[in-house]
Amino acid sequence: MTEDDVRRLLREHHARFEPDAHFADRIVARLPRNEAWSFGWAARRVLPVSLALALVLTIAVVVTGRSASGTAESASVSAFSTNVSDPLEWLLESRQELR
Amino acid sequence: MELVLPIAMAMTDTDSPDAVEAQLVAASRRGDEAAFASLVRRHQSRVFRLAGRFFRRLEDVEDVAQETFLTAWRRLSTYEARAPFEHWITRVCLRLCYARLASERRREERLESSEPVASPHDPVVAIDVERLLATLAPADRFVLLLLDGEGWSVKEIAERIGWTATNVKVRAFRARRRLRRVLEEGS
Repeated sequence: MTEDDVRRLLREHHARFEPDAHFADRIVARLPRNEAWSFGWAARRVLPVSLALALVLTIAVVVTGRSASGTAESASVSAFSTNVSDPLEWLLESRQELR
Repeated sequence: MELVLPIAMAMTDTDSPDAVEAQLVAASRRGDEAAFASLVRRHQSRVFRLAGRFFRRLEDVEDVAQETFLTAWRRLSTYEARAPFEHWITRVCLRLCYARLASERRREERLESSEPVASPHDPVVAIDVERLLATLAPADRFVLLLLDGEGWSVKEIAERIGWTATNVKVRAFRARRRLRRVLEEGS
């Protein structure tokens, strides 16, 4: 092999690779994003889930709150009736004693 | 209500290629990914061809090409548009090729391995050229491939890779002398 042969071969020394149809898409997918973009992306992804979760929690709080307040109301009514009946009984008893 | 189209869609056929390229660069600087994708599509073949001068494996060429465009995206603000975008992206690609060549310590091992060498011509001759090139220092090999492979002048190489013309000439002289010696020893 002579020096001229080497020069010729160097001209032909070429892998001839071509990018595939998705090369540009792969580049775009790897582009670094700034913080604002990342927050926006995260918000778009997380927002529906967090809204759904908030809705479920609100419903759960309302339902459990109602049942708890219902129990408390009935408990306080029964306690009040017991307390109220006591002075009446005492009053009746004291009247009977007067007689 | 004003309709705002992405730059890649808003361009018309009547715009000159340079004007279109300037619009794409400006839009990419503003973070328009679609515009940057158009820029990539315009220059990807050239970047692949250039990287293919230095690397024989598709994985290496793909890596360098991807890194070239990612570096371009990050450093687009440093492009001053004095020269065509093609020159700038070529320079980015060359620097990455050189950095990879310089850090590649296992060139000979790769040549001795059984990995296929991509070549459109006689594979035996192609491997001979590979072996010859492997005897050169990375910088000398780099310059020789640009001189004899790409057919660039010393001035063009100096401008595009940021070396002095003297440095390029010295590297080319050393590379050719080394090749001559190897060829003489072989014969």
